[in-house]
Formats: sequence, C-alpha cells, structure tokens
Amino acid sequence: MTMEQTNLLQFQRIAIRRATDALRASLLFWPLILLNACTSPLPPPPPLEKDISVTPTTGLVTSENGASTFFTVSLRRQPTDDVSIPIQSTNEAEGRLTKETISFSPDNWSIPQRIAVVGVDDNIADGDIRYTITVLPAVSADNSFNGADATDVILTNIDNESAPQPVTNHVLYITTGVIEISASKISGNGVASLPSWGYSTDPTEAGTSPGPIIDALVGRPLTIRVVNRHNIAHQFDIPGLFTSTQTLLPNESLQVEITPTEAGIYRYGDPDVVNRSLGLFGAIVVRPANGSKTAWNNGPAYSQERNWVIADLDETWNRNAPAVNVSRYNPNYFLINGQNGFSAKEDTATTLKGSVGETILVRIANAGQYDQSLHFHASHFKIISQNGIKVRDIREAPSVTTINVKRASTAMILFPLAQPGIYPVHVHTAQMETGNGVYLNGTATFIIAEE
Amino acid sequence: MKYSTAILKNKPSNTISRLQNIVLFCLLVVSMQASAVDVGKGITLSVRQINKTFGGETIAFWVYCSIGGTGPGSCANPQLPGPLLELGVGAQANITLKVPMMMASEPPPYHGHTIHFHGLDVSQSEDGVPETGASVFGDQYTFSVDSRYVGGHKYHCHVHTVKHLEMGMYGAFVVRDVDQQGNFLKNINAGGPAYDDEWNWVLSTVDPSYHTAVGDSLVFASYTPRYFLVNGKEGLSRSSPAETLTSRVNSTVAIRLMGLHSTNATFQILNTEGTTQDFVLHNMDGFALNTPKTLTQIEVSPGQTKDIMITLPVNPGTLYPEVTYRRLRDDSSYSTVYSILTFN
Repeated sequence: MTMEQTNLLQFQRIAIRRATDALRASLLFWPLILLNACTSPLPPPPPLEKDISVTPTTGLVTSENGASTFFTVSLRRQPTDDVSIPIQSTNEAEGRLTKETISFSPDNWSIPQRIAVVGVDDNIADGDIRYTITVLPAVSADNSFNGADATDVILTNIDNESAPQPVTNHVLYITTGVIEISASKISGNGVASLPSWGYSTDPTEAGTSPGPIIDALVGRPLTIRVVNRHNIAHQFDIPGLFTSTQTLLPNESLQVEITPTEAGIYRYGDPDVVNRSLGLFGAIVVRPANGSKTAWNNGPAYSQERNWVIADLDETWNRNAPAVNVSRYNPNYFLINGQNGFSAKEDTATTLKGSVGETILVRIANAGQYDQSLHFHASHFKIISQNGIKVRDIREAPSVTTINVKRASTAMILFPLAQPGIYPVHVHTAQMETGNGVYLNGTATFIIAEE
Repeated sequence: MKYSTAILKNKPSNTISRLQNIVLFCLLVVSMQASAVDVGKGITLSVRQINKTFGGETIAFWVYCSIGGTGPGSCANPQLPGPLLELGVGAQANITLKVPMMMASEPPPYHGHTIHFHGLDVSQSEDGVPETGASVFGDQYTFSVDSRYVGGHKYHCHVHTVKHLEMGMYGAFVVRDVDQQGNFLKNINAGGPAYDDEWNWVLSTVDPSYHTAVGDSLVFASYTPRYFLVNGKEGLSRSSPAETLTSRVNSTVAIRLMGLHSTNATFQILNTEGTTQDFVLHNMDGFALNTPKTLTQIEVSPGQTKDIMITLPVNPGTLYPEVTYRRLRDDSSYSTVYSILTFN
C-alpha cells in the first residue's frame, strides 16, 4: 500500500480474498499484520518562489513623457553560489529595462537591487498600455535557487497624446440647492433632503455642494467670474491661488484671474467657515502644463484619476441658515463629492474602479470643519502631497493604509489596484461612518479592481 | 453593483477540518502560555462580553478572546483589548473565528461578527467585510504577508463598525521579521534596527451611549467620548499609569501605537523635567519609511499605526510616554493617558 503526500488523508480500501483449505473448522481467526511503514527518499524540494522577493509586482506606472519607475528584487537567504535572474519587457515599445540580468553573489546577496523601467514615447494616441516585466527562472549552481521563478511585474505606460485642453473661462453663481441623501442598501434607512448653499454654472439652475470641479493647467491663465445670486453677502477665495477681501453683496460679481504655477488640487469657496459649512465650496484641479498624466511636471505618473471633495454638515445649521448657532456644531452627515456613502459607492467618478495593475491618482480636498481619517482596504498607497507640499522623491512618500486629511486641507495619493476584488474606503472615526446614524452612509466608497 | 458578492472560500473537508481542530487544540495549549499568540501556528478566537468600570460607570464591552488556556486574553480570562496576535513573515496565518448563536451581538441586519486585518492588505475573501461577502456567523481566515509588512497592524470587527469597534472588538497584530528557521527577530522592520524591549499600545476611546444603542440609531450620529484608554486602561495620572515598562539603561525600546480610537491623538515622551524626548519614527501603518524621522511628537489618527523607537539614556531614570486625545474640529485636548518607562 502506497501513501503519497497528495493522498495522505484519503482512506484506502484493502481487498482480502477468501481462500479455500481442507480444514473443517467453521470459524478461524487469523492475524492481519501491518508491517512498519517505510519511506522512499524524497526528491530535493523545488526552489521556492519566496526565496526571491520582487516588490511591488503591481501598480507601477511609466509614461510616454519618459517617467520611469522601479521595482526591487532581493533574496531572502544566502545562496551558496552566484544567482543570475534574467528579466525582459514584454513590450519594449512601451517600457524598457536598464539591465537584462540581475546578479547576486554569496557576498552581496543581502543587498536588494533596484531595477529601473523607463516609459517609451511614441506619436500615437494609443491610450494607456499595460505591459509586463517578466522575471525568468533564476540560473545558479546552487540547486536551491536554480530554476526559482519569481513573480512578474505588471506596469502601465501612460499615453501623452490625448490630453484634452480645459476651458479657461468659468462663471460660478452663488445660490441655493438641495443635497439628497439616499437610503442604506443594508437597512433601507437614511433618506433625507438637506437644504444647502452651493454653486452653479447656470443662473437658472440650483447650486450644488461641492460646486463644479474646475480644470486648469499650469501656466495657463484661468478666469472665474463669481456672481452672487444669493440673498446675503459672500466672499470668495482659493487658498494657495487667490485671496480677496471683497464682499459680494447680492447680485454683485467678482472677477478672478489667476495663472496656476503648481499642479494639484485647490479648494475654492467662501472663506467664512459658516458659509463654507453650509455648502459654499468646490475644487480646482491643476494639471501639468503638457496635460500629461503625471501628478505634477515630471512627477509620478498615473493611469486614472479621481477628485474627492469631502465635507461634514450639521443638519440643524443647514435647516436654520443663516441663523446658525456658531458655538454649537455637531455634524451628522459626512459626504464625499456631495454624496452619502451608498451613493458614492455607485458613482463612477468617485469609486476607485479599474484593472489590477493600474495606479489611480486621488486628489482630496477636505472642505469641512472636522479632520477625516480615511482608511483604504486592499492595498497600501503612497501619500505624495499634503496641503500643497509635494514629496519630490517618490521613494520618500510614506506607504500607508490611512491618511488623515485635516480640516480645510488637501492631499494627493497614488493608489495601486494591486489585487482583484471589491473593498471599502471609509473614515475610521465612529460617527463619520454614518449619515445621521445610518451605518456606511458617511464618507465611504468602493475600490473595485478587476483582473 | 452588488453589495453582497457571493464569494465563498474553499472550505476544508470535514476530515481535514477535524484533523486541523485536533492540531489547533494541541497548538493552543502551548501558545496560550504566552501573552502573544502566533497565528502562524493556528488560533481559534471567539467573543465574550465583559464589564469594565470607568469613573464609577460600568460599561459592557465585547472582546475577542482565544479559545483554550486560562491566561489573559483567553476566553476564560477575556481582556480589553483582545489578545496580541503575531505572525512571522512567510508563515500562513490560520485564524478561526467562532460565532455561536448566543454570542453577544446585535439584531439583524448588524448581527454576527467578523475579523478585519487592518493594514495587512488581505484579499477580499479574508477581509472580514460583510458588505463584500464576509460571513458573520464564523469564519476561517488564512493569509500570509511578505517582509514589507513587518511592523504594527491591528485587527477588529467589521460588522456595523461604528458600534462593534466602540464595543471593544479590536486588538494589536504584529508582523515579525524572521530568521532562516522562521524564528521571530526583534527588528522594527524587515532587516531594520533591532530593539531590546517592545511595547504595543492600543489607543481607544469610549462613548458610553454607543454601548447601549443598536442598529441605525441617532446615537451614532454624534460622538461624545468620555473615557480615553491605552490598552484598555485610563492612566489618569503618572501615579496611576495605564502602562508601565521596566527596561535597561542605553537599551532601545520599540513602541507601536495602534489607533483604534475615534478622535485625534498625539504621542510624546517627557522626562522628569517635562522636556520632550527625541524618538525615531520607523513605520507608518506597518510599512517602513525610506528614511526614518526623528521627532518629539507624533499624531496618531483613527485607523493609523505608528511604530517608533527610543534609545534610553545611559543613566538610570524614568521617562513618561503619554497620549493626548484631541478634538477632530480644533485639536484641543480631551484628556491625556499617562504611562511610565523606567530604566535601571
């Protein structure tokens, strides 16, 4: 009887044949002896993939602007002889390697090696292209490493031929609107209509909170005319881009003329904290001058982008505006892009949806009075900017799963879609996970990564 | 969009399950002799209700506990927070959560419990999120992590988190660097600097009204914390510290700060003269910084983990690490939790 590693836990049937003899005994007991088991010599274990570590294996981005990236290869233990690991790009028209072989010796095995991958340019609007750096089986006289096949690296090369040119003249009307809160998909609770102040681009339409995202380019003049169609006075500023002490009485207007010099996300709105809390805020997104999919000029590249304007809202303030009790602020709604959690989980402009291997740049502006500590499942991500202060060397960007976006501040992160599945993003702070007490109806959305 | 994806894990056969249970039991008898539990050797967790008294007020908590043994953190001696879980790089975590019918829980739709391994980037099937398919009636979680994850992490229930986290369903999870034989090493991160002693601090806050409310209650629309804890203790003064640690002069101490609270918080270390001491931040959310930072104060916001190290002075003395909990709106102080670090 043979038992192998693959069938150790399976019962085996042993057949016993009846034999005839000349004895007349009607019942005869006889022993069935199981002899001691013996084992055959085991073949040497195959080389383990985990002895060669490759990180990261997904989420890396190069660009046709020449932006490069890198991954790190290291050995987990000392080899007895030299180890060579061939690598190659599956698409050298999109990404090329700066070396073809990684070599470790018994002396330098403990030093991880960084492998650079450089994006390749073309003159075709071919969109973003995924490609792979194949890590081939290792070659070594050390049999425990020879043939070890580590994980390949998936990258995306970002196209630079198809960037749209943004509109440079905008009009924002200060007015009123309504924020609709949808029901929980778990309990059915939570539906509400909340009066709000907001901005619109059409004088005949209600305002939204946040106001419209305004796109801009570094170095390109941008004009915004702000018209007060509300029944009380307001002001307007863009921290980091534009300040003004001018008061806009009803039906007065203000001309904003700026030329952004730094890419990023900027919060616009009423500088008065009460007016801002009642809904008067929005965001301006400034992209690099060439419109490339990089966070800033020659900055880290990405394949998709999202812009999140988050805020908190005290319903009693909104229902009694402008007669609010300034000393008593108890926000009971926490919104992302003006939506409660169960709406934001279905909003394609908010969810982090894409293919495994993509990297999403998320620009975040917190227009609220409360700090929001956002936790992402599925993957660590890089914080590349906070309140306009950029991490110039991407290696110094901390890898985290939670970012505290302070009140009235901004941040930018690079989120890699590193593994398939659906995962939540949510604030990790008690009541902020709810909309007026209804669970998961606060600041929340989904990560949706497809193979 | 589906909110309950029908993703089911491949469950082991009954035969294998029975064998695993036998092995698990044997391992638990050994592992529970220590305060930390190596989940690479297998562990079964459950949940118990305990009462704790703060400021003369008795409050009910639900806490994770390990089945087997009688030590702190076992279900015979459940504690707040739950037991410290640890896992070596490359080893496979094997964690079973048992959720009996009569366990402390909420009525539907927020009934049952799960475990979310916060910061470990596990796959959807191991993520413990009911809204994406996790079982709330008991589950088995298996996963492994690579060397990037060496550091401090957390685990907590992800059912109706606004309630269940507040109820105390959380604990510390530490990924350990290992040698070639798989033995745990005292490194702050993979191949990183070694430490002599370690301290794992679970930061949490308590709003008593959350402990009696259930479902989509208006109670959960605001948060008024009344008690502020480190490792389940108030530490209202240096004469009544939440934590004490005795180390040696000139040694290094790693402190992992695990944020499971619902306010802002800052950490600092003072000497007897009230002067803040330098420490080095090595990891954020369990991932090593490319360049460690020397600081005198650090913010730990809800959901974050920060791993720091301090080198103790060459002469015997006492230092006072402390956490100050702060308001989300303006960072003004709620309360400070005090601890004592002596070195001889």
